[in-house]
Amino acid sequence: MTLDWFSLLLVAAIALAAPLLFAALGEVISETAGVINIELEGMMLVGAFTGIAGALASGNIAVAFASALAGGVLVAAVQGIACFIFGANQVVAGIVLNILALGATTFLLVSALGADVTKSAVTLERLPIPILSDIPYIGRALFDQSIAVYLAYLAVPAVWWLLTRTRFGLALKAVGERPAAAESMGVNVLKSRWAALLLCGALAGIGGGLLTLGGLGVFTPNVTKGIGFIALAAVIFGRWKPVGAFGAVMLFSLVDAFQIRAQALGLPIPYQLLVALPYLVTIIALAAFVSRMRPPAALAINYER
Amino acid sequence: MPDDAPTRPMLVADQITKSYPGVVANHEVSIDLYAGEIHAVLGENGAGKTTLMAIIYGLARPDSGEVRLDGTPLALHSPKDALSHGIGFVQQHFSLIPTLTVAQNMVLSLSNSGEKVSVGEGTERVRALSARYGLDVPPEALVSSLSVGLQQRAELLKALARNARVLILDEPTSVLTPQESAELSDLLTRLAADGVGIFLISHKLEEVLRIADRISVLRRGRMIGTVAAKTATQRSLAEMMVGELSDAPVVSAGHRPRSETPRLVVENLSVRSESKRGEVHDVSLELFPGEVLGIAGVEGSGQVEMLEAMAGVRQVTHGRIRLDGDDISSLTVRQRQRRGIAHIAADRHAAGFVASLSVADNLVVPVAGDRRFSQGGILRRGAIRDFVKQAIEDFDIRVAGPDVEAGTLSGGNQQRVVIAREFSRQPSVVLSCFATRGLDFASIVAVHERVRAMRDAGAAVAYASVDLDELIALSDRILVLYQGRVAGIVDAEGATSERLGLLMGGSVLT
Ligand SMILES: Nc1ncnc2c1ncn2[C@@H]1O[C@H](COP(=O)(O)OP(=O)(O)OP(=O)(O)O)[C@@H](O)[C@H]1O
Ligand SMILES: [Mg+2]
Repeated sequence: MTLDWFSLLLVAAIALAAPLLFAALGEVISETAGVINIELEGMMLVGAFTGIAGALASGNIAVAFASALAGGVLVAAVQGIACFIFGANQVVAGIVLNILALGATTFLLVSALGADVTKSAVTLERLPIPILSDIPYIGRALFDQSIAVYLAYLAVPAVWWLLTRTRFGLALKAVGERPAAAESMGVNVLKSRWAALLLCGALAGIGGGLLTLGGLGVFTPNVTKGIGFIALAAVIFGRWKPVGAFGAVMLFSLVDAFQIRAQALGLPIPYQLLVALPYLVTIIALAAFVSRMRPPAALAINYER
Repeated sequence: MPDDAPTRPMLVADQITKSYPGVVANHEVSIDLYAGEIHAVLGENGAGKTTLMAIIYGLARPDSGEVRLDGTPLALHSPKDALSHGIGFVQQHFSLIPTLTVAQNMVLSLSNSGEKVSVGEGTERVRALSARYGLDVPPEALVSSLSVGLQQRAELLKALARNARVLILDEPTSVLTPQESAELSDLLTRLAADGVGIFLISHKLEEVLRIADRISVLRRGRMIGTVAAKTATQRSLAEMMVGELSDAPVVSAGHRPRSETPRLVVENLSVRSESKRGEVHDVSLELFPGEVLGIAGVEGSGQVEMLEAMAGVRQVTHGRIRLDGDDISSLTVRQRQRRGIAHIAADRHAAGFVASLSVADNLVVPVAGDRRFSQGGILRRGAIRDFVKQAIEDFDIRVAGPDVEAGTLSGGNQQRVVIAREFSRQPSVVLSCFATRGLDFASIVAVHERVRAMRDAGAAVAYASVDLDELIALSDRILVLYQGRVAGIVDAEGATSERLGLLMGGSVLT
């Protein structure tokens, strides 16, 4: 294993991390406001699907991402209607939505996109940044990616700034911690939670879109393969902070990239074990650290006046 | 009211009626407030005081009746509306966000009044207001790291920053030390002199008589009357509150023989806490059967954490706790309960009170494993129902029925649920922290009577309070904590608040 091998590992990890990062950042925003999205996976899956559908219909990558975003927002809106208007339990609604998302995208794949599941759409181009992308070893990994990947990294400080330096961010923290108190300060709890939830849907939708549009440009059933859940775990592991979530996402992605490359190396390890590695790391990380974490006090609790 | 009082009230609540399932919290209640007056509102637990103020503040909507400010009816749909009219409310449970700093809380609160300020400007505002009112609140401290007294000041600043003309305070002094209470009284008097109208809910008659201009009394949702403070006495007010008055003789503790062997021994106990305040360092004490050991100390001196560690709710960092000679430091809460330890936690919301469960469930959970109430894991519903009915009656919990959600009870009645649950287990060790906080006068007397009865029956009682007069009246000995260490142990007989106050402030007794 040479330095080159590591450099390639980094390239792969960063490409893998970007979709996860979008979803995890969205979830950080949402959970800060006390709204948990078990259907993060479903948001990504629908985003991945509508992204491809948009790309096939328009042939335009910007339109494709806009429809991916809309797909995520759609799932978020259903969650919001179920929980904020009809008072459904957030976790239960989330589980149901995941099942629904999987069923609906698989069904529509055949009936709307046609049975030709291998039909590929426009995909994102790489956009190397001059000079920086020539830095040895890390240049390619960090600065020879698509625009969406750059945006994912810029989103980390942006979300941090939003949550800690703006009044909107303070309001989100307030409604996620003590909604009744926030209300008595004049914060509109429901509006704030809607905003956080829809923002999460948008980011998760883009993340899902990036999975398909940033890759092969095809949608296969259950293309997200549980990474929405890894994003959920990354939020906890990252202590509900954007930078923490970024760290967690990078860890999981490095492990994932490692297992892919390890398969290619043909090491004498059963490939099933390698494929399971990122999930295993997730479980171990959570089991080891979760007891020391303090979630927002009003997480997953619906607010009634 | 000052002599140059305006002739028309600034705020009028007219014929307010508000019902909840099973209770009429306010029945055609009218009350008014002049600029520059302190108007106290009294009443037993559950009388409807908080409900009335919540309606004036727009937190609850009345079934009928209206609130008028300067003669114009207010359409209050939320606190936002009340705040924009200059009505501020310091609630029984503070409405600060614990994970934000004081300045950040200020920014949030101001920005919703349409005044967009940055965190930097918020910090400046807190500084300026603190200085102006002599309140000394650190703007950059996290709210969760502040003492209760400081949190309350932060809450007051929030209202003052929005130029409140009407200020409502719900039992502000029930969480304060005597010193802090006196400072608050001063501040309120100064604010009134500046023309602010103040509604003050309190259970402390003597305090009310001292600082209020007028006093209104509610009883079971109805307005009994409004009197000038000058013409009222403690007795006349108490009569208005409860109807008739029986002369309950107050027996002082006196000195009684106690057993030679302690029931509970604490050796070199140290306990860590989330914040620096509340840590316990190397505390040793002995608790004898048949005695009440009072625990004095300003809030945040470690009394909460010490009792929690003894009850098993909090981990012991160092040291040992022995019950009848056995080391129980590593026993679970449950195991300690089985051995006869009862615990009334300082913050019922943090420990042992589940607002979303019914009153009956809250009463039964800790005793459900008892042979009387379950057999082979199956609950005996009949026996449970009888027990719950009895507890509600014995402890005078004002609730429409046992199946009412406990969180909807008035503050004092929630506290009664916790007390009923812990006391009805016939404990041999009672660890009680701020048990009478938020209770009305009659219930405080009832709690004291029960504590004395348990002590006389041989229970060992540790009883923490910030009210020194209560401690002196109830205790046999008083242990004083200062910054998590034992500052001294004195006999209650002959102890004075002054002497205890000195110890509480860290002056060593010789
Ligand atoms: N949200 C609610 N739902 C149902 N009942 C309620 C609710 N709020 C108050 N009540 C009931 O209304 C009555 C009056 O309660 P309130 O809180 O106004 O009493 P209080 O005078 O403030 O008492 P305390 O001194 O104990 O604080 C009580 O019987 C209480 O159980
Ligand atoms: Mg009350």
